[in-house]
Amino acid sequence: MHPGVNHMAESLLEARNLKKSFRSSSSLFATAASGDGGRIAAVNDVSLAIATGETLAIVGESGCGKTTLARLLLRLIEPDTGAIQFAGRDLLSLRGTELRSLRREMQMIFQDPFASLNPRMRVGELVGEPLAIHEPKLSRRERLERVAAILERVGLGADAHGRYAHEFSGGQRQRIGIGRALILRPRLLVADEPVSALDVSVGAQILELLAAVQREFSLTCLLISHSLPVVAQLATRVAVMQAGQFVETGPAEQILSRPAHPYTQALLAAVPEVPAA
Amino acid sequence: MAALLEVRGLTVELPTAGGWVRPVNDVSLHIEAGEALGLVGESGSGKTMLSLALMGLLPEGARATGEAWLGAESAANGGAMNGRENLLALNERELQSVRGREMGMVFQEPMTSLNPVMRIGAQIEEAIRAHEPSLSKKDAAARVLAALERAAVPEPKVRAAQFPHQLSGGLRQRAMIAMALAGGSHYAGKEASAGPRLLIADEPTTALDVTVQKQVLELLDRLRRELRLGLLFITHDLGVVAQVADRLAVMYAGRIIEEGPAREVLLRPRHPYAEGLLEASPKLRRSKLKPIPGNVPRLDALPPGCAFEPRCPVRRAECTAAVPDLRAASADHRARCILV
Repeated sequence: MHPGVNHMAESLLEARNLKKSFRSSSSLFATAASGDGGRIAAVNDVSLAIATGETLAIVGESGCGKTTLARLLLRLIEPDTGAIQFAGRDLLSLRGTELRSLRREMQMIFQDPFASLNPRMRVGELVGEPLAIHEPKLSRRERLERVAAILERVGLGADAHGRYAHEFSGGQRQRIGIGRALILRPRLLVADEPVSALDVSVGAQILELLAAVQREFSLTCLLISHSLPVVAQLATRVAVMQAGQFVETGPAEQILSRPAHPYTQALLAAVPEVPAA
Repeated sequence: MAALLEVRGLTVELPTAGGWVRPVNDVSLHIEAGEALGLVGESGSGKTMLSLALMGLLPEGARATGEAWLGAESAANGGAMNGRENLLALNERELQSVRGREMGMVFQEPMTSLNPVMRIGAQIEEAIRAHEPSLSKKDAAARVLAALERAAVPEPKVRAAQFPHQLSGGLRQRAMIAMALAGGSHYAGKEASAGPRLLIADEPTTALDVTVQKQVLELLDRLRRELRLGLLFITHDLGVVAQVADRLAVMYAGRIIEEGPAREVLLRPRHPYAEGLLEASPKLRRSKLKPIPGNVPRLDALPPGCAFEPRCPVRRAECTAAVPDLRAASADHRARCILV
């Protein structure tokens, strides 16, 4: 049995032997001599399966390849080798409209809600844009209703509609990002460091919102994070990534309380915690 | 004995289109030699503006009032205070002589504080020469290596010859710490006798991975003990501050709202904001997070009375009457709440 692959439940997303390497910037001149192209494997033979309804967290330090892996799984970049299945379909062979219609099933929220929202668009347009692209036949009224409903669900008032993203705080912007991701009712939500740019009190609001919408929208989630405490709040399963590979995968409680791999143990030991009463 | 740093009634005002705002409002605090004070707050709390005021690095147009006495503790006369200076009353030339010689600074992102086109060793040498221009080449080189060794930089000779981008984030921060403590020290064999007595570290580990963060926190703790440094450690992270601080001061909307021994504040917070911050922090053991509703108030639209009142779960009608004083919760634990 392949590590990271959970054969028990039906999986929504499944990846096998994914590899992605990039040219190493420091070896531009060594390329000819070394002959291996001076490439660094950002993702090195990773397999995983995300069961419908679960939250798989990929945790690791900077440069471990977790964000590259997420981009591969969404096919924002192409793997060198490997296979990806989404809802039983071969994601890597899809083209054109087929790919677009599958893409609406997988949405993403980003770490920096300041950089990921177009500053020239009003919140109503930002959140409604995916609808305009994927459901162009909707009437204007239907679209406005859907936008209003999702804005309310993510905790933004009706007055948010006509304002620009820069008028909002970081936490409110992350709510806009979540609304934009959810309006198409995707099956998979990929959250890349969703609270690491936010203050603690606001980050807790966002974590709570993510947990709630996951239940309500029956979402399957892929959480990318460097923070084990954040992972502990949301994940049902955890994959620990180091240098492009998974070193340990398992149920969240097990990884967080009885880690087997020395690297996982070191990560846990380094988490600064508030003393317990 | 007087404290190493004693801040009294420090207020910082900034001009805005709508008038003056106070990012730091009547803050008093003290740090003893060898003591670590953790200054905790979320964005907009005023914690960084407070540190900039102490270092004389406030943005153009800002004005600071109050007092900030830095006592230069001299090893030469047995640790006695040989003169105290009010940092807020110094002119730029006097400040330059204090910065790096009596007070060192470390910031969140060493890449922005280091010169990218200058070798690490040369930058540390510059920091040393700023206060001792007549140092010989040989002595300066020895001091640079000693500074890097003190900050536990492996292979100090190799690192001194490298540029900032050739170092990992953790090593860069070690080099910054080495530089912050290099100035003004009187090299006497292996003993690092003097040099800065106060180290201001503003989110020094926020950009680092947790395993590297742990090492840098341990380094700061060791240096504080060995050099009897006063450490002002500024962070938004309660878990991080729990690792380094003896005492804590929690800021909200420009004011200190709670202060006391670190363990006591973290285990038995008395201000609803400090309590809320603890309950909103994710822990390794999954627990129901309790977010604090709402947002930090804007400085130009502070509520009357207690600034936390609109978000407070235990607010009362009286809370809007006036800004509460810091009240004693125990001998050395105080909170700015009428319920204390």
